[in-house]
Amino acid sequence: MNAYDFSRLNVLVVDDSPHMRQLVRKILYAFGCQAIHDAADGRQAMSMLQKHQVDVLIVDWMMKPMDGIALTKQIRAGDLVPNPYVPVIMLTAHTTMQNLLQAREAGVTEYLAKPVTPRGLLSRLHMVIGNPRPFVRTNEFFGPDRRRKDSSFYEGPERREDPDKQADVFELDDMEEDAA
Amino acid sequence: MVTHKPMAKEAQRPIEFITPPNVLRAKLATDKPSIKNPLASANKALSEMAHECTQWLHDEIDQLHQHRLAFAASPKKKAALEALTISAMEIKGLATPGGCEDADVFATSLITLLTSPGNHGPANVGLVEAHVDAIRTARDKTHSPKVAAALAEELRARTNEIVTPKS
Repeated sequence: MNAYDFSRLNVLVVDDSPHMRQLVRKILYAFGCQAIHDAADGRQAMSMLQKHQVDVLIVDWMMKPMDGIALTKQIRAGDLVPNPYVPVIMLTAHTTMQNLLQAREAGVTEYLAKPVTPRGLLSRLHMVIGNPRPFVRTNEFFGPDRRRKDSSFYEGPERREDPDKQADVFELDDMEEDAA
Repeated sequence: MVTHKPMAKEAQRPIEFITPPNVLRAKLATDKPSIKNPLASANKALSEMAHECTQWLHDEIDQLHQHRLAFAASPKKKAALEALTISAMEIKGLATPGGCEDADVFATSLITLLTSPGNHGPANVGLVEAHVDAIRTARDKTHSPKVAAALAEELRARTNEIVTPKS
């Protein structure tokens, strides 16, 4: 595994639960992170994004008035934030496959099921730093490429013809492990 | 930034792939990280706050019970269902760090019941209440592991029966 100096990483933790924010902060501090901001919902997070440089967001799903899905969509829309490519790690108790697909369609980069563990969080951070997904823009979608695994065997409809992007099957990567 | 626009088929719209420069790797990669073993460091930090997490969990289970009473009184009230759901999710987040894995199992099943498409919670108040009672007994550790496992299995099966669409 590559080594990273997390003391230079700016993280925004968005969760309506002060306990969860504290828990995630504790883990991030232990990784060496020093610049950790937090917000209690999507609106606060948008305001923080306009004021602070943020390298990674760790976002809960269910919050009021703006939830994690709406926040991610607004970030990817790019009108109000300086960096629409910023990685979004969704930390959530919503763990069905349907939830996972919904998160992915919103533009979430990585998905992490509660309860949060140091190993899970560290692996997602390594993923967004060391192996980031390329972005895809279509008329209907802008966000991290939703297909990561290579699958050269697929011959069905909707097959991409780019030889460098032979990841054609609608596959889920290790995010899938988190879905119940 | 690298972009290219493959055309999958003539009839399809172009898909634009964008590979932004990896500024994070450039910024963070190092041979000498400030924390040599971040995983061990975080595990230690979590174990140091286990007592705090347990207290938060117990407080949240008390809250869950209050939300359950409000829900049972007005199961069709959206706010009551939402408060119960948020509380169950909070418990799922805190159960393991709070040293109560059984509560995590029960909370997971409860969340499935409350959030699955079809809004099954209001029609199954008894099952919702059984989940909340199971979480409380998990906190109080009044069941043996064997009984807790059987109870979890039963609640999960009953929940799946309800939330699985009938063909």
